[in-house]
Amino acid sequence: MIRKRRDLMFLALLAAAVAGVREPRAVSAQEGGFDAIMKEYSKENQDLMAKYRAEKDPQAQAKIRQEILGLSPKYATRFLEFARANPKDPQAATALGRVLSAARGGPQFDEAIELLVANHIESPEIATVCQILANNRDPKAEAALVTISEKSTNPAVKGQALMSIAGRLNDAAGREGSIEMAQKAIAMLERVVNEFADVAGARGKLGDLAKADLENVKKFGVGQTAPEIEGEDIDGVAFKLSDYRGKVVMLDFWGHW
Amino acid sequence: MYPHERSLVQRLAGKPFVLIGVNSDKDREKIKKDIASENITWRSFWNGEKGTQGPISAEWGVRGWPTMYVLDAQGRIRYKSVGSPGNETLDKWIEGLVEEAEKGAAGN
Repeated sequence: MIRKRRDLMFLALLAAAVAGVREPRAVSAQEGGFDAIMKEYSKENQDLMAKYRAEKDPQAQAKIRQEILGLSPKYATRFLEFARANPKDPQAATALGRVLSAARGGPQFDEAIELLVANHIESPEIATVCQILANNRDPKAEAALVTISEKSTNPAVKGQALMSIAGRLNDAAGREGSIEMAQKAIAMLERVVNEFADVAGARGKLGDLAKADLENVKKFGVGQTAPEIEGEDIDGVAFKLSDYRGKVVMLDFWGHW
Repeated sequence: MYPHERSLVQRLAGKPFVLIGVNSDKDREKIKKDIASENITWRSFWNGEKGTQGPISAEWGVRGWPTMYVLDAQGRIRYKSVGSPGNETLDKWIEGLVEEAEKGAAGN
C-alpha cells in the first residue's frame, strides 16, 4: 500500500515537473536551440511516462523510473552546452535554471552559477532560479543568492533572492539549532517588507509573503518559547503542550498515510 | 519512522523526554486502530477532521509531513526539521537536550 502511494506521489511530482516545462514556441526551432532541446526532453519524458504506466511488472517499472529520473541530469548537460554557446541569449537564463535544479552541486552547478551571474543578472528568469536555489543546501547556492541580491538591480530578482536567503537561513537555523541564523532570517524578511513589499512574486506580493514568514519565524523560530497547544488526544482526552514542561519534547506532526 | 520513534521512547524511558505527536489523519476511528496495530505508545494531539488542513498545523505554519520540532525542558524551540533530519541527527539533538535538562535539574 505504502509502495503504491509512493509511486503515485512520484507520478504526481513528475506531472508537476512536466507542467512547469514551457511549451515549445510555435516558431520552428533552430537545430540544437533551446526550444528544440526542450521539445526533445518533453517528448522523451512523455514517452517514458506512458511506458511506465503501461508496465505491469514492478521490476521493469523500477527500471523505467530510474530512466525518468535520469532525464534531468542527462538534459542538464545539453542545456549547459546551449547556455555556454549562446551566453547572451535570454533563453540561456531559463536553460541555466534547469541545469541548477538538476545538478544541485558539482562542476555543472558551479559553471551554471558562474554563467548566470556573468550574463543574466538582470534577467527576470533569475527570480525563478532564486526559488530553485532556496531549496538547495549547497553553500554555493547561498553564495550565488547573495551575489544576485547584491548585483541585480531588478527589484523582482533582488526581492526574491532575499526571500530565498531568508528561507534557507530559517531552515538551517532549525537544523543547526542556531538562534543567530533565525535572527538573520528575521532581518532579511524585514528588509523585504520594507524595500520590496509591492513586488510581484510567483505566489503573490513579496511583502505579503515576507510578512507571513516573519510572523511564523517570530513565533515558531528557533529560540522562541513554543506557543501553547490545547487540544484533544486521539481518544478525546484534553491535554496541553505545557503539561510536559520540564521535559525535552519532540513534537512530531505526523500522519499514517 | 515508527521503529526509530519506538526505540527513542524506549531508550529514553525514565529520562526527561517525551514524544508528542500531532496526528493529521482525518479519520479518528481508523487512526485509533492504526495506533494499536503499529504499537504507537506515545500520545498525539488530533489535528481534527480537516487532516493536514487542521487548526494546529495551520497555526504552526506546517506545510510538510512529517515536520518535527524539538523543544528544551524550558519549552523553547531548539530544533526544527521539515522531513526527518535522519535518525542519527535526531538522536544527537534529543540526547544533547536531555543531558542539558539533567544537568540543569542537578544544579537546582
